[in-house]
Amino acid sequence: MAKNLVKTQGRKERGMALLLALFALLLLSAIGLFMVLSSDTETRIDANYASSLRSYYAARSGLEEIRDRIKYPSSSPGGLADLLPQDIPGNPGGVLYVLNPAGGETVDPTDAGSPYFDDQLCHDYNSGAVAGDAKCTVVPSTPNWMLPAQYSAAAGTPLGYKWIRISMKTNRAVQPNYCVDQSCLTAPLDTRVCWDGQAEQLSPGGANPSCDANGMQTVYMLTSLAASAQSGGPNGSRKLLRFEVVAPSIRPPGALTMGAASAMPVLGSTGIPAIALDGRPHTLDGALATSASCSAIAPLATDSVTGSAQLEQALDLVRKNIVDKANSSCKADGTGQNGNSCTPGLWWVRGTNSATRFITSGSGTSGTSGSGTSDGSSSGSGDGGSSGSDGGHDGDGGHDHHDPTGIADSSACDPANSACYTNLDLSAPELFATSAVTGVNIPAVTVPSDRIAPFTGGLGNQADASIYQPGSSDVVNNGIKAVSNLVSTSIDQPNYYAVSSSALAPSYGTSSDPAVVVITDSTLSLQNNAVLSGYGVLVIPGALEINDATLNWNGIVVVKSSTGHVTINSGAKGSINGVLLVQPGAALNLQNSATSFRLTYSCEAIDLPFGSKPFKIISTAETSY
Amino acid sequence: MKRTPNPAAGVTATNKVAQGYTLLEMLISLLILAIVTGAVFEQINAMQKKSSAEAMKLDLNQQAREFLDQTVRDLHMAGYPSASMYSNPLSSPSKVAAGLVLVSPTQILLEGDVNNDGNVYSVNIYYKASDPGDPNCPCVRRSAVGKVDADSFSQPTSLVYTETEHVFPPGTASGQSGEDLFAYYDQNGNAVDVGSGVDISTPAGKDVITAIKTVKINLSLLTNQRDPESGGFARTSMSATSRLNY
Repeated sequence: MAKNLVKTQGRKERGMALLLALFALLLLSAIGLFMVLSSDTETRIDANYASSLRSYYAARSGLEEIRDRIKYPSSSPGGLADLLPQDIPGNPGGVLYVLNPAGGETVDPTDAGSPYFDDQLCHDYNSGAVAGDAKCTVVPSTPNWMLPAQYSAAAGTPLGYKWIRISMKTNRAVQPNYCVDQSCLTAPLDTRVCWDGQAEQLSPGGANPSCDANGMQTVYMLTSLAASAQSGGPNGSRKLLRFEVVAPSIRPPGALTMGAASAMPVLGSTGIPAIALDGRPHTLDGALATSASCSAIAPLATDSVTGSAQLEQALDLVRKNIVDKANSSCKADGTGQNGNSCTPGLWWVRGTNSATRFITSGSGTSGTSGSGTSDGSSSGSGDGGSSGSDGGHDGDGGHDHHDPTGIADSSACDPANSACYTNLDLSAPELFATSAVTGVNIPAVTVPSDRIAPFTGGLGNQADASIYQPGSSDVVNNGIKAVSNLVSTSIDQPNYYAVSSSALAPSYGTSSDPAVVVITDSTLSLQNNAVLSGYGVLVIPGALEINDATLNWNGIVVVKSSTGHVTINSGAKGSINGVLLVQPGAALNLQNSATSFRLTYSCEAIDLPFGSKPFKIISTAETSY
Repeated sequence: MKRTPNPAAGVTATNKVAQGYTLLEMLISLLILAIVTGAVFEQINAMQKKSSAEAMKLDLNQQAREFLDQTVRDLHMAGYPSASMYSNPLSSPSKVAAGLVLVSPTQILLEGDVNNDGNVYSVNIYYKASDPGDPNCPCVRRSAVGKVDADSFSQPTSLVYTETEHVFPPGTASGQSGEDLFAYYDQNGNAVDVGSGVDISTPAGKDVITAIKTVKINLSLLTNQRDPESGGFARTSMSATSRLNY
């Protein structure tokens, strides 16, 4: 009874205090929880924003790292220049990855199960994937589609990208909306995209679709994936950024690249020209490159129909002069006549049959060479000696002649006749033969080991295969503009020289420290056994004349005046190893009597002054993968 | 009535029970309860005000951040795809993004594939000081419209836009936020003076715009209601920097 009483009394004593306390506690808890949640939401927003920014800049940092490293060859620390893909994605060696795993992490962009799988690649090769944002699930099946992976030079640093993919740009990579030709229809989707100095162009294809074989630069796509550490988690973010980049240098279409000249170019006078233009890649020391990093180009290039016609006419004149000289100087047995000496090269042109191999006029046909030669010794019916053989050289074996002036020459031979002088191949090294013995139809000749010829190199795309005319009509101006930009950024640098032609030092620059030399007066006239040599860029505002003097230049020589000229005269010696760019309108006179002057193409020498410049970024895009 | 102490239940308890509540005790209890309850509700009220204020600030922050995010993304894609990506860019101008077209301290007109969908858009981001039909101004509006085959100044005007409301007037004059909505910098980080605005229609304007490599966005927002705690309008300022990619 007493116990029950106490219990009853205790209940009554509890009152409202507990309820109130509980209620207050509940309310405060709810408010606290709300604030915590709000705070957490804010924190998450901040974290996501930070993660997104971190991934963006991580991806970008990777692109910048690779953009820097592709300037240098692999012989330099971290260099990638000579490891870049030489074919399009999907083909062997078409993709190069640079990986950047964090400590203990595996980054395999080819593993579909990996969070870092390259789920964009299938849009860059012919995988059958539908263009658009669909994520890829496969990689190319072509053996060796990927070059051996490289690694970030910044390993151990906070650069957070996972991988960079380097590949050539093709039209497929930007289809369906941003094809270079806009329609995506004018060429196969896997056509390479090139840079002409001003805009992207589709490679014209042909025998060598490489951009540098067509006077342009290869456009590379750098694709970077960055993912934050919490990828897939609440604060993870992925960014896929792309650069389209192109090397800062130039790739001219010809060892001598010019616009239409103000007057008919002169490429030689009598006989076999002593001067030689060679579009094959050469090393810095002027030797023929055995493993060049660039393609051979034509010896001559121009950016206009008029220029091509002028060059064709000039080359035909060279051919005619050679044939006239050979036929007038050589007998079938290789002895001289008419008081002229018969050199091995001229005999090779003349041939060993009674009829000359080539004629310069008349309507004779192959095997029945006409008379019209100046010496009159090969008249009458031949025995098929006028074969027009190319002598086994690697040139084009002649061309289809057309009269660039449009003026019919009734005395000219029919170019369809293989005996016509227009079919003489100027890329034949036999023209510079040093000895010869008689042979069937043509003498057997000994040629110099470097097989040089008056006009040799890669195949052009004109009727005369010594000439290349790019699709872009601004190629000369673009090239000159690129060099001018380089010059303007070099002003005030230690290697920049603005100097009068009368105050030239004998030499400028070295292979490791190329110079930029700008002639301050109009004409650079080298004469009286003067010698000028150097590495880098030589800019001549008006005219270049070499008379009884030596010019040895490794790099780029630019003649910038449309009213100027290039005259390489008697006694000129030396070489331009790189490229000679001549402003449209400037006249060209390469006299026959020049003694052993050489113009050889060297991408190595051309790249030299651009060495410290970064790859140019053509475009940047953030893709939604 | 007198009770006899019960040893088993305890004397004290028995006494308290026996005492009951007096009026005085009741009043004191009510007073204490009122004080406690008042204190609790005072805190709750403060919490509610704080919560309300924080919610408004959170909303401001989110608005500001969304605007900055969007603008940074737009600027990243400005100029993509560029004219140099085409062999003949003039054949279809709608596929060519001009990048920055017009810039001023309070406006950016740009072109780019901002939606990453393969189409070029003309994007107009501008400050609107007042709009009789829109009580939420001063505001910043952003409209995007697909580019057509016309020059950058002849693009259609979109009637649809997103709006960031209750913007504190940007500028450096008295009563303004102290910073322009958009500030521009060259590749060396030096400020680019755009005056009251330049565009690419003139060579001089084009030169100025070409020099711009980075854009800084400064946004200050005010709450649309008074802060129940302070009685004033809460203000949030936020800025972001975007490097141009073209």
